[in-house]
Amino acid sequence: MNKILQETARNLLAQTRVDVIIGYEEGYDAFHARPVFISSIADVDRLIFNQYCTNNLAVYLPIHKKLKIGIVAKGCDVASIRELIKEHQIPDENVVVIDVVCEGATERMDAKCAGCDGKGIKAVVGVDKVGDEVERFEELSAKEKEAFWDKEFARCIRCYACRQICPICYCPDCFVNRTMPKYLNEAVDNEKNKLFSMIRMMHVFGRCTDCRACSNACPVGIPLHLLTKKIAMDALELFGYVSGQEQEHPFSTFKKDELMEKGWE
Amino acid sequence: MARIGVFICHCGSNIAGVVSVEKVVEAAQTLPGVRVSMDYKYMCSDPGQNLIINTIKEQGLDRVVVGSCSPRMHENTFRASVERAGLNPYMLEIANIREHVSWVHSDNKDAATDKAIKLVELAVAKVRRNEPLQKMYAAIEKRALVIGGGIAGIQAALDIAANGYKVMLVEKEPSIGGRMSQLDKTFPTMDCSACILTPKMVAVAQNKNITLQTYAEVAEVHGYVGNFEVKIKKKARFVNMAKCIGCGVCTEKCPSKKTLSEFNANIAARKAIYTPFPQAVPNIPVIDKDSCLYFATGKCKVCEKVCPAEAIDYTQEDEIITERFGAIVVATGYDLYDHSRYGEYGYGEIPDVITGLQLERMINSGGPTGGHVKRPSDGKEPETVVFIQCVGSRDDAKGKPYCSRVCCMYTAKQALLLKEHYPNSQAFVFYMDIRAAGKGYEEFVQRVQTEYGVVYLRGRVSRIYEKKDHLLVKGVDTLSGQQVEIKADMVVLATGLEPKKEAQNLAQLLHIGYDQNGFYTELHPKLAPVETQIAGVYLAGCCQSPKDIPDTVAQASATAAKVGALLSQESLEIEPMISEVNPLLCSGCRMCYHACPYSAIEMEDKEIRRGDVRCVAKVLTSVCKGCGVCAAGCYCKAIDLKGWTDRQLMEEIGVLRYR
Repeated sequence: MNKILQETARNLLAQTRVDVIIGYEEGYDAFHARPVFISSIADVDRLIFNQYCTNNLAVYLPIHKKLKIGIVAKGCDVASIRELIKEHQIPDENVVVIDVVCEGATERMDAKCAGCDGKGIKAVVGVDKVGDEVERFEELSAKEKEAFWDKEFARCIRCYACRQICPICYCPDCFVNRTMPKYLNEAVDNEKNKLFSMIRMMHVFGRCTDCRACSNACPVGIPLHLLTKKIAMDALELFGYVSGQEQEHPFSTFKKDELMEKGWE
Repeated sequence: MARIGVFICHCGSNIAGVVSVEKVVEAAQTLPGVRVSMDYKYMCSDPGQNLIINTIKEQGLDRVVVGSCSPRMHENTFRASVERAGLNPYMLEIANIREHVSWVHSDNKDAATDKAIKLVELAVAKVRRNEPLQKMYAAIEKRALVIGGGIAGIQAALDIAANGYKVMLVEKEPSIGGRMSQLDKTFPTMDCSACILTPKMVAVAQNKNITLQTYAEVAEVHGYVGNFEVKIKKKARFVNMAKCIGCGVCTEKCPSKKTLSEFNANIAARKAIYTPFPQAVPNIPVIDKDSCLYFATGKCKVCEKVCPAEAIDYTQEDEIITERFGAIVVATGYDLYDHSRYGEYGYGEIPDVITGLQLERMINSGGPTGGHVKRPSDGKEPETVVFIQCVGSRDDAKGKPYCSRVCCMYTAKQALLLKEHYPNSQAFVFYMDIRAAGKGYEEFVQRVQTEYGVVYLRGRVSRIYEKKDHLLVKGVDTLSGQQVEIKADMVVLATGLEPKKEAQNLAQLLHIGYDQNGFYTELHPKLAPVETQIAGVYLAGCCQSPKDIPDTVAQASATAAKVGALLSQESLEIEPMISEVNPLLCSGCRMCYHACPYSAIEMEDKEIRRGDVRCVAKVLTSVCKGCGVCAAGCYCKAIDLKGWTDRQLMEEIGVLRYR
């Protein structure tokens, strides 16, 4: 597998079809992998792919939108790449996707891979593990829900790792960093912590591909994948919309009688 | 620090009767930035405005909050006063303490006062972040579009042209003339409809300022007042308009005879190549592709063979033309209610139950029966005719609660015409109320009853039975309280007026509103009856509400006056409260570009920092209407709506947070 991957990368670089290959290399031991940027053929042999390659590399694309990029992508990452192309963050012709067959989860990354069919396609609603979890959560009372998230977000240290790792969070200047006006205080307290994630979820609604990179990156283990799954389920239920597909974002379209068809009026 | 003045209006007792104005003034005094707070009985009056102006000058104020009625009412008034005092007019905020407080909370005066204080507090918070805005100006395209070539559109076009402006008149049908051209006589003076209409139609064709586009429809509308860009679809006529001499040989020889004539209200057939009626303007036929044998079978081409001018062209295709206009008059008219929804009148399946318009075409000497009224079932001349009014009008059960206004009169007219044509005939009219509130209308209805012996029965018809050679009409006469049975030869239904089927689509194109019945909404029912909420779009005729010919003509002339006033200006002032993109914060995702309902966002490559060129959004200032959809959709928060910036709104939210 690694051989084929390296060969593909070598060819792409040799034919100058890409300026750089974004992929994975071995981390500090054989049980960890980390992202690597390969721009010379001499380095191609560093590329690997195995079950420890969890990162969604699409996050690097908007930063390097001027380069021609070959990107190693698992099935679940491809949706993110498609979404970025749709949102004009990278020109379609500048991206070469090197599709790799993902063999799935290690014990460390169950949140990311739960419900994956091995081709990187997660069921959006219902049947998968996280979907069931969301549905069970929905049955709780408002008080219980609040208590749950209070407990979870009490751990949040507002490191913004969730935002940094998110391929869709590419705003040039995030709302939390802004001072005129000050949308959200930076102080770490439970209310603000919850509000930050709430606003982030609003902003990525219909754009988040539920890749669960945020959940994986969270150093204190807040189950953000419950939120991302919920908004993906809502997008499908309310608008028949799946992020990363060739559909127009429901918030940017207006159809006559849409409200009536959905029984909202 | 800001120097804010707060001015609270009593509005007579409108506000002061409910809200404790002194308490509001007192509370405002303590707000950060407020230098002075005062009240007055009528702030909008001359002394009231002078109070504001003098206080601004004396106290050196730089921002003003007025607590008064809705900004829709007097925002412009107070902006002007603030401007007269030497400030930027946009350094003003209105706290609506009348419509939002005193009028709706008169039952709880303490709570109302609290709410008034809160609203003033919000306005003070917002005005602290107001920034001076500059008015902008745009050029005006000195040309008008009139949509619909009925009497309303014709009159509007002629009047606008008489003012010296160019007009394009777009008509969906092959000829202008509209509904009025289908009528025989017009009430109450019994002028021949064609005799008074045809000269106007000809005048349109001959007027140098008017361009006529028949068999054409509006496909797209972009832009804004003074600068509309309209795409017009010219449907393929299959007849070369430049070559056709209007001789009519093609129509005569056309072998297709099966299609019902829309112009003759479906009581007669027409050919596949046809002009709707002999006086058509332009007098150039069209080929109806759906009924043409050549288009169906590939064989025939009779019209091409007989045409002496070689004007037939089967290869023509629909054509889209793009034109620019400064103003648009909508005069799309009406459809008649389809009476097949009335079971008591036979679901439209009894041949001798006809509509008023069908009778109109029969009784017209230029109509398919040559002016003879013939029963559709056997062609016999009817002796007893029953007219039923309010079919699809004033009937909530059929979803038509409104009065169609013309049916009482046209029924009386038709009853009179019938009696004149056939002195031995007898007409009965079932009515709910007689509405004859026009000049000479009541006298006309009286004359029909006394001189022409038409019997008026106040009541409804419960059922029409089809007997061997007649109809049995069962109804009630509520004045005598008796059941009535009339052996009639024919029944004429006074079907009501409803908006055109395509009316809603056009409303979407123009962004104008329509009411629950589908009629276009005027800006104000009394004081702006021909304007719409879209500046530069005006309404004439039955598309706005059912009306008779005199009212339609008057309204059409009114739109022409409005168009004239608009087009005579040198340039147009544009509201500065529009969106603005901060290119540094824009990610170029195009959410706003797709969401903008006015196509006011453009994507452009821009050098953000030296050497850093990015594709970012740009607001076309003259197209933007300031609706704020883009600002709401921008998750990067790169778009702000001037006058409603996030800074202003966050200040307001800040006030609400610590209540």
